[in-house]
Amino acid sequence: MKKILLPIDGTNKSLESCKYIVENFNTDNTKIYVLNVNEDFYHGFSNTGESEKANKNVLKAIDNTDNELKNFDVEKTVVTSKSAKEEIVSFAFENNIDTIVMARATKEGIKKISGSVSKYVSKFAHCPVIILP
Amino acid sequence: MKKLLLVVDKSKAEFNQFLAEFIVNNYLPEEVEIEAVTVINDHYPYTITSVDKKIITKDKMPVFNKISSILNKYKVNKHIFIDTDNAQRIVQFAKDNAVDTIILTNPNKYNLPNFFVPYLVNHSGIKVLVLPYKSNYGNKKSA
Repeated sequence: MKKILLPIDGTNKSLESCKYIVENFNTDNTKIYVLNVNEDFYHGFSNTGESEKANKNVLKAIDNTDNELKNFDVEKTVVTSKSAKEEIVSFAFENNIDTIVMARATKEGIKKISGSVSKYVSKFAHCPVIILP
Repeated sequence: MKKLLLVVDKSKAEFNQFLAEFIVNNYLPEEVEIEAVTVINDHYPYTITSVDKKIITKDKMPVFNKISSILNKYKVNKHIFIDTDNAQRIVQFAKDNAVDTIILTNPNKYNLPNFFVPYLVNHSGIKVLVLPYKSNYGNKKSA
């Protein structure tokens, strides 16, 4: 059984990774781990309103993957951490992930600068990392 | 048929072996066409070193030996370029040849900042598949 880690952050860009998975992996022998890392709580600047908004966006993003990955075995996880990039790498290692699929950068408008998360993950992950343009 | 670009390391045969074995374990020969590419830096006004000259031997291309022996059932096209900018050359080649995915091992040899992978990712508009080389995870805290 192949284990694929799909980190998402709630943006449309991160959800595009779902399409790649559908096109390139077999539903019979693939399990998808959808992971969202909530960094907001640890930044210390969020008031309750922002945290709740972030939470809602996360839940909406995770639910959006249901439609795209409906034929796959999917396990969803939301964690809170001070560093999304470190959490992704640790999660992949601890769960013996075979491949990480992620978008290059999810911030809109910053088209020429590589996302810091994908850059970190590609450097330190124990498994292959596919970075989508 | 997918076209894969393999970034071949001109100094570390074990990286290339790792790369070739990944292809064998994940793709069937009939599914892919492989462009194996290595780029030799030509930092003007410095001349190419004698070590590099051995790599450039056109008739034998020894830098591709590992790749060729493991991928003997695959269609592999080999390319050596001389350029001042490795990453830029590879991106240009990938775009010119309608490559589907660029595949390379993550060197991380000396725990230095890696600019090569981000450049490929940012400027190619193509999927980039980065393979870890063995001990990367263990090095994460010291980088």
